[in-house]
Amino acid sequence: MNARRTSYEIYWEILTFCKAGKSFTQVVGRCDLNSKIGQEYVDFLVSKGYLCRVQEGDRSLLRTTSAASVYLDTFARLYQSLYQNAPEFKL
Amino acid sequence: MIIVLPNISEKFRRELKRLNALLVINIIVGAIGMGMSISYGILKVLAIKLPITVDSVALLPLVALGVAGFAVSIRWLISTVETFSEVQEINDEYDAAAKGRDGDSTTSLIVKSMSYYRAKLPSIRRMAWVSRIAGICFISLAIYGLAASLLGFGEANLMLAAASFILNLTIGAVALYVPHSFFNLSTSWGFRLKEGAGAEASLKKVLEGQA
Repeated sequence: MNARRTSYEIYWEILTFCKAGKSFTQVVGRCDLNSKIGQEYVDFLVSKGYLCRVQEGDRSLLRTTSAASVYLDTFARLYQSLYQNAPEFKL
Repeated sequence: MIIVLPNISEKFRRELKRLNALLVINIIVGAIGMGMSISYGILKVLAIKLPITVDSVALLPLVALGVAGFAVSIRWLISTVETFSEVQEINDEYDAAAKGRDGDSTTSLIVKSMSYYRAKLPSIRRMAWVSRIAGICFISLAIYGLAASLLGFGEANLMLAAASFILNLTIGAVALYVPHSFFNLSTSWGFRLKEGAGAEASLKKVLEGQA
C-alpha cells in the first residue's frame, strides 16, 4: 500500500511490535523499513530506554520496556481521540 | 494499559463500509461511462461518409469527444480500482482484528488509515474534480441529445432518444453526487490529519521524556 507514516507512528509501530520481543530483521520487515533507517529508529528507542536488547539462546531480541508505556498510552489516546472527534464520513 | 474509546470500532466499520460503497459506485459509473464513450465514438465514426463532406468533417469533434470520454473514463476506472485494492488491505486488517479487538489493533487501524489518507488525499481531491467534469459532460450530452431529437437532427426514434437521455442524465447526476461524497471523505480525514499533525508536539515531548 502506498502510504506515508510520520516518525511518531513508526516509533509506535516498533514499540507495539516489540512488546513480545522481536529480532531486528523481524522489526524492519514488519515496519517496512530499510536496515539503515530501521537501525536509526531502534538506536533512538534503545538510547531512550524504551527498547532493550535481550539474549534468548543464540538470538538477540529487542523488547519494549515498561518506560515506553507512557508514550504508547499517550499515542493511543491521542489517535483514538482525533479519530473519534472528527466529523463522520457519510455518503 | 489498553485503551479503546467507546464506539470507535463501530464508527470505523461504518466509515469503511461507506468508503467501499463509494468506490463500487465509482467503478460502476466509470464502466458505464467507458461503454457509452466507446459506443458514442463508434456511432459517430460510422456516420462519416466517403467521400468526405462538410457534414462528415463536422462529426470529427464528436468522434474526438468520444475518444476523450473513453480516455478519461478508463483512467478513472484504473484509479478507482487501484484505490479499491489499497482500501482492501485496510478491510482485511479490520476483519482480522475484528475478533480480538483491543487497544493496539484499533490504534493500528487508525495509524494505517492516517498514513494511507496522508498519501492519498490529493488524488482523492483530483478524483472529485474529474467526476464533477464527467457529470457536467454527461448532463450536457443528455440535454444535447434530447434537444437534437426534438429539433429533428438527432436520433429519429424518440423512444431511443428518451432512453439515452435518461441514461445520460442518471449517470451525470451520480457523477455530480460522487464529488459531494469525496468532499465529505476529505473533510473527515483532512480534520484527522490536521489534528494528528497538531498532536506531534505532545508526542515529541513524551518521546523525549520531557512530559
